Amino acid sequence: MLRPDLIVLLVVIPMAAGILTTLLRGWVAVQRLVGLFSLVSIIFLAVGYLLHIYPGGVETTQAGDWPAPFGISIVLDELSALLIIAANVVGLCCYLHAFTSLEDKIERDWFHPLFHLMMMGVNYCFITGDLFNLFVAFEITLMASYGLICLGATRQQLTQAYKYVMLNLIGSTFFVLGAGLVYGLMGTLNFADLARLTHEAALNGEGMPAGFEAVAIMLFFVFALKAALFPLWFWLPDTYHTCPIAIGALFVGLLTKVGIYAMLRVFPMVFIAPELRETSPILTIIAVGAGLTMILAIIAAVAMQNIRRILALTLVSHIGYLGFGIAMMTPDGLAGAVYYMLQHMVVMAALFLCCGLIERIGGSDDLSRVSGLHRRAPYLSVLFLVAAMSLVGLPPLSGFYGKLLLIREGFALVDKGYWVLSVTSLLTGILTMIAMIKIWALAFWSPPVREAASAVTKDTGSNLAPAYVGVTVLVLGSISMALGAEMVIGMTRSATVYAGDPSVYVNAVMGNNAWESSVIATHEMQAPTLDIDTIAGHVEQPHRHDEEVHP
Amino acid sequence: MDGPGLPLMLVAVFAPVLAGLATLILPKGALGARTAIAILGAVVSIGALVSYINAYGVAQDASAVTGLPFVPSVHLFISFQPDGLGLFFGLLISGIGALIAIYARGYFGSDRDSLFRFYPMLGFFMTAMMGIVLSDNMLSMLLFWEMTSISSFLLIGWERDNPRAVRLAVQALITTAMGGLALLGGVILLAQVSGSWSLQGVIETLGASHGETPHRLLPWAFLLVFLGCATKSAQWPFHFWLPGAMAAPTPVSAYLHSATMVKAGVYLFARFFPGLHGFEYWMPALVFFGAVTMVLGAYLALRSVELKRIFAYTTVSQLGLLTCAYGLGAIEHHGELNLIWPTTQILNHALYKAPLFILAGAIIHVVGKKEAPQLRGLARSKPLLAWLTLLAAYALAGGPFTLSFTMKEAFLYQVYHAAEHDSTFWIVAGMAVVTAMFNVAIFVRFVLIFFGREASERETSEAAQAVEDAHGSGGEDHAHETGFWAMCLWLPAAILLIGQYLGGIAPHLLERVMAPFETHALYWSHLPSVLEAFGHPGPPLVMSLTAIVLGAALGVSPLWRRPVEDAHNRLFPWILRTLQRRGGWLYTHVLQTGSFHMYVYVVLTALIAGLVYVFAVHRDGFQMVELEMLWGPGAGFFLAATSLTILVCGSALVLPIVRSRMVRVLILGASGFSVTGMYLLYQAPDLALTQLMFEIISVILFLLVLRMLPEEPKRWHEIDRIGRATFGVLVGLAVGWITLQVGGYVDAHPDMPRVGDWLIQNAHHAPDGGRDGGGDNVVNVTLVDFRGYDTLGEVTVLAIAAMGVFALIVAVPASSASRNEDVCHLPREAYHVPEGPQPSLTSSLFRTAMRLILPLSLMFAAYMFFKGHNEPGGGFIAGLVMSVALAVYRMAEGQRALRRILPIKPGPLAALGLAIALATAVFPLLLGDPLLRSYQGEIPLPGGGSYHFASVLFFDLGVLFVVVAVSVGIINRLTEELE
Repeated sequence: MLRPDLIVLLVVIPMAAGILTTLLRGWVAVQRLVGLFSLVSIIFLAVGYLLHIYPGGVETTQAGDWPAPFGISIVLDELSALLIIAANVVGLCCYLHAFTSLEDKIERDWFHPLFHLMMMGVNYCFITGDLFNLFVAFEITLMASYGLICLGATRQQLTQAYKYVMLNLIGSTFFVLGAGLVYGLMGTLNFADLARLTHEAALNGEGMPAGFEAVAIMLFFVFALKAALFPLWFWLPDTYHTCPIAIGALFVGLLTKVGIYAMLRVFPMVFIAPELRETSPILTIIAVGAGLTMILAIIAAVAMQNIRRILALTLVSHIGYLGFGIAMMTPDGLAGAVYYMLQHMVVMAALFLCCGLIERIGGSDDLSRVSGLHRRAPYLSVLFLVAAMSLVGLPPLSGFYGKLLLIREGFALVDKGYWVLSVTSLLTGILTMIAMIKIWALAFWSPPVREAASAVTKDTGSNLAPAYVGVTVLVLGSISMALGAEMVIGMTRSATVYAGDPSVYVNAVMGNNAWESSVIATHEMQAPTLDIDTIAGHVEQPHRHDEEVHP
Repeated sequence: MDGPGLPLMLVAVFAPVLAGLATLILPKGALGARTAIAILGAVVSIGALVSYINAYGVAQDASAVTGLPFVPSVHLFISFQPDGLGLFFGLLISGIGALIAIYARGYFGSDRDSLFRFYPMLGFFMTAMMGIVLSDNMLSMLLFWEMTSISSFLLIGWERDNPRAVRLAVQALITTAMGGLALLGGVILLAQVSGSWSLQGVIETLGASHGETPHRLLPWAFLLVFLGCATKSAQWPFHFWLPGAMAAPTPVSAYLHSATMVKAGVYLFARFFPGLHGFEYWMPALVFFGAVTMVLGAYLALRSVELKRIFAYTTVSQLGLLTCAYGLGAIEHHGELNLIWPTTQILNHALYKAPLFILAGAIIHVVGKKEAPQLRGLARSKPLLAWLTLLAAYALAGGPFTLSFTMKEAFLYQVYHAAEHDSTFWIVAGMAVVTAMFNVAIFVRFVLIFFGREASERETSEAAQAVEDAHGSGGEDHAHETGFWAMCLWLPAAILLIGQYLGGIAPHLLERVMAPFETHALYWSHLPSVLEAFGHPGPPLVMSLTAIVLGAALGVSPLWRRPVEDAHNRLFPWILRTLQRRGGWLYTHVLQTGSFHMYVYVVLTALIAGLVYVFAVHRDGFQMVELEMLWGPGAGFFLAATSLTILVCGSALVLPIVRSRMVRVLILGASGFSVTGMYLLYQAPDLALTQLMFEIISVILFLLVLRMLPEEPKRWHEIDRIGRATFGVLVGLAVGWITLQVGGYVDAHPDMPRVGDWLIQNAHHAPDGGRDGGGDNVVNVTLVDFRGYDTLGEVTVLAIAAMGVFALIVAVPASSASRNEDVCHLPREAYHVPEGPQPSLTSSLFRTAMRLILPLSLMFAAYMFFKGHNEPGGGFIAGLVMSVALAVYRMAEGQRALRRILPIKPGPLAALGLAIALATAVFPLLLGDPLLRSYQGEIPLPGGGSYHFASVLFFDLGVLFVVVAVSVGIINRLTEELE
């Protein structure tokens, strides 16, 4: 049933949903049904594939039946599957939330097609195995997000959307340039092929061509811009402030993560391949960026008075944790980053959707105007508290485990200076707590403000059930990630094995002995040194070998 | 990990929270049952601990550790170490917990809502606390630790509508959570230092390494753990949250903020004592902070008037004393550690502090007054409450015949021994005496007040009014109870006081209970009674008596009667305020300045900085590019290439300097057409054609859009222009330099295998006889076949772009009727529309020409489309050609004419195109082939010969539809808007 070539359904289904909803414009109820069907089926499909390939498997198909690297490889490994599941769960919940929170006019307009095509772009991004194709995936996601962000078209919204679009266009320009340069240097764009070539070059002692790292920096710039790392984060905070909340929550969950995913996919295998890790300057850049992102954004978040701004800045800040994990590039660091990424998608979206409900029930997201919600919306207050504390990383909630893995790994790498990031993470944790408790204390507790209460009572009459369902699903998702932390961490560990040893991935894509052949070539080369060591009686040889395999 | 008694431990820890949750099921009115279940939870806990002790005894080593894996991959186990210390704390917590459950019923009376909320939280807290003290795994300890912070927060902010309570709750949470995070860091470091995540393991490892040079991370681990403990146990300078926490209802204060939660830090000191006491910073840190906290707390207690605040500060003081005691314990005295009955010391505190709080709550509840001076004459009006309070306060003062007296003696002996070693500790001794003096003075003041002249009626009501004003309505106006439930208000205090006085009068009885739990009882073989203490006088006894005398004198003197505010109370708000101000500054100056130009500058500067950094680090990896490589095949080529380059670069340079938008569009066009020339030069007719069509369409679009824009800004700053140009050149140079690097590499490695070579070889006939693309036009075969998946994505992008434009522009006419202020719609006047009659776009010549040209162009497009697989062309180019033709026709003939040729709306047309492309892509899946697999064959044509047919043609058709729909749709919309 789960044929490997059917992984393309993960893209085909949302695309079909996008086409159908375009043709069905005006029939909102049918559009909703089509959309729900698409999202739910994607989730089931992705879960099915994940269980199918876990642990350590890779499903791959070659578009057009052309052998890799000549065609385009489509690859689904555990990382992709996990992210697709999380992304589509988030998507589903935002979609449900949109049913109540979106104005009729906007929903009737182009919301449905754009939404599904954006989901298509996100899925497309997660399963592509080719650098230029990744660019296409970025473009799909971005173009749909441009459309979504302008829905409703208030003046303020368009002002922010303009900045968003322009900054991302800069990113896209450099992406396509970078992809071209990579092709120039390596003669291929296929991730697996690139990994193989890098590996081979390193083993042959050739070193990478000149400009390799400069190109890497250029691509890192593109991905970091997308991920909103310091100082490339300008597009984010105000963008989320203005657009409809369901769309904002969707962006929160997905857009930045697409950038992080691209880093996770491309860098450990190619530009910071295991052999290049010691010398690569990029890790330092990521580490500095991650640290500054974490601390600066969260300090700003504490000062904000609007819930949306607080949440948007917290979001940016926590992207720093992901950067932290990537900067360490160790098995636990990456596993922590992936775990944190999954939980961050879910929890951040939950908080944004909570914010949407706060706005509906309290009438505003301005903390000086909303208060006393614990009485009017006790259930919402529970949901918010759980989500907020997950974000803060209070054990045993989901945020804790990712943070623990990262901080622990940072302290373990104390010699490389990563302890600074661990300490920054701890500080960020406490500041996040302050930011979240600020929302809680002012919006949920504190005596109700009378004028705000009377101004919005009419609004609470409308049907908020789908919105609540959306938030509840996300919060339950985060709780189940906490309860099933053992399983999820196991999966993220397995999903990031490729970073230390890309052989499985490469072999799955390129055919069975693509990786081994290069290894054989080098074994022959290294044979004399090995002999000398054995003769000299170096007993720790296996140990050293171990270290090489798991840096 | 496989010690016995796991079920009992699980029951002991989780019974309270389960009982708490069970109370939620009861109807709100079932007060008796609710209380009974809550008490039952605590009692079950006690029972489990007692049966554990009966069955397995009190263990002193790691063999007793027992637990379950929770998240083993991060070393999180729910594991327990039921040793003396843990079991003692467990019994203390569940014992007092049971009493508090009773007390809450008396305190809240028949207030259903409060009890409904209270018991679950109490259970939650009790479980958390049991978890802390029984956990062996450090992470599970941390987990429970944070649970106590949260439950404490929810309980302090009991009155949700009281801003003051909320503020104090936030303060307590943030302070203790900060400690929790520090503790997390400390625990991680400890695990790294010792290689174990189990407390037993850590302590064994650390204890075994006494005398060796400590691990270099140990100081940091200690610092973080100390921070965690100090915040939780309210050590100076973090003590401010504890008096603030008194905003909670009294049962909470009595339980969390005197007897249990605040002891968590002390518990950890006790826990780590065997492992860390040899560490060089242990003693100084604990003694210093403990002693300062001890004196400060006692002083502030004396200078407070509110009952709960007084007791809160004495709690702070007592916590300081306990910390100090564990610090002093590290000094060796005659070969033994200088720690005397520390566990009993902790018990002693609970045995008088909890009663004090319970009674304070009772007094506030019954009398309705919160401040000590208002309670004059209480001994006459409420003798029972007054006498009990005095008994407890007597223990606070450490008077003879209380357990306190003995334990104070023990502490003074510790100080005295330390001072014998190092005379600096006489300072600590002095501080201890001063602390004891303050405590005695507090007791004396209570005596004076309770037996004092009753305040006149008028005074009382005024004072009560003042209290009301100061603290809002307060939560103390609960329903009053009579009978048994009223007794619950003081009964728990009485029970605890029995223990206190038992320890003072008959210490051997208490000793028998405590001995198994005591960790460091060896120094004193048994608990001395008061008489024994007087029988063996020594300096500590002198100190104790001095303190009593001085304290009594201070108590009756008029000195220090006026209340003072603790300066530290301003600390937290100040930090928060500063943080907010800095954060606001950061936001407006760094994160979101709002200036788009700055964003672009910063973003691109970041890119350049990254490149420069890489260059600086890996300078030898780069090379000077040899420019000869760029000369190309011949002089003619060189000439053409150079002139085109100059054109492209020149127009790019001029772009940021020129003012007029129109001119800039034209320059951009020039640049684009030069690029077209370059494509031709490199023999890429497909690309050239595409670029050409694209340039035409974009110029049309630009012209349409320009007409809608508001007038151009009148003035430009010269500096701004120069800055832009310079910056642009800089970015261009950086990027160009990398491109040259890569170009140089490509030229230097002509025989490098490239995917492109394969594509060229396999486009028509595979050299190895395998499957081929079946087309001579490599570009087209690549687009629709080799990399058809890219194209599928790209056409989607196009379609989405169109949707975005439709969504955006549709919004405008719809609102132009209503002129909604909020909708982005520029006022008509802002349009750059020249005055006077509009020059018509549609001259008749133009129209006639278009009627002829249109069919020709469409035929040309069709030709391009069908021949595309073998000759320059293809769906994309055909679509562009068709779009240009249709767009120009639309301009000539108007919308209606367009509608006649193209009856389908652009939105559905784009969707249709996507659907065709997608269907072609998906079809092979049905046959079991991968996505986008192409099929080909020969179709015989009527006039002989055959047409080479490839299934990708359908895919190309989809592309064509999308391209036409998008470009025509957008141009049509824009023109519509203009008309």
